[in-house]
Amino acid sequence: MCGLAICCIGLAGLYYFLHSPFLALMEILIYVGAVCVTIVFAVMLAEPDEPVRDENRGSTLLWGGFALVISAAIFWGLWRLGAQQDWTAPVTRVSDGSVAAIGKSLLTTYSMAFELISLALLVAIIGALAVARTGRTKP
Amino acid sequence: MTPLPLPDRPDIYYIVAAFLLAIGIFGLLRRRTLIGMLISGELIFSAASLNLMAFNRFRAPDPAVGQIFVLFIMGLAAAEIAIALSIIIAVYRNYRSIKTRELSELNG
Repeated sequence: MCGLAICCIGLAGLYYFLHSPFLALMEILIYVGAVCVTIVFAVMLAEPDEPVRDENRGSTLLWGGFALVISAAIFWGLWRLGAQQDWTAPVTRVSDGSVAAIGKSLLTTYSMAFELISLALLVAIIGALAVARTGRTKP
Repeated sequence: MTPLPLPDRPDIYYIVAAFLLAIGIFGLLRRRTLIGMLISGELIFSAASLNLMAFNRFRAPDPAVGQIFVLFIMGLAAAEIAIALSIIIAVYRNYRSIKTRELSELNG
């Protein structure tokens, strides 16, 4: 959990380097402030003791190599895509990516998706309450 | 031509995102508890968001679009966390364990 918080703070720093301080703030607020705290509560309720490994080191290395191969393939594809396609030059940007531009786009162009995601969050929270409650009423 | 400073090169972000994805996949495959798998899934979400943000910063004509997309990813990840944690707590109430080896009533 502490590792997840540190990882998310580092990711927020990368977002800040990518010229989007609003997203860096949101990352810290949502992940460190909400997700990590919720996971800590779940850990306190459910005691996730990692069981002792019964496999050898070979399979760990095998699965690690598998994950590395997949991510390297995706990295290669993205790098190729970024390097070789014809992208619009960044001088012809239509907005500056500031918080004001994000707010305008959220409430004009993407208002439908904005409402939909608020509905999805509402349904998710009500569903989470319902699932946890039926667990409690059982003997 | 002098090389660009490190934060202004897109390859760095692709490499970091690829490592995040590798760690996420590895944890998803090797972790033995449901909460560990959930955290690994979050790492995969982070890798996707970082790739989107890198392309948004260096290639896209409108920098607001990628930020809004990543905001939506964060919202959906938060919803997923809420649902998954409630399921984990319900499973723990029924089985007294969240180890994936012991949740095997449906095995073949």
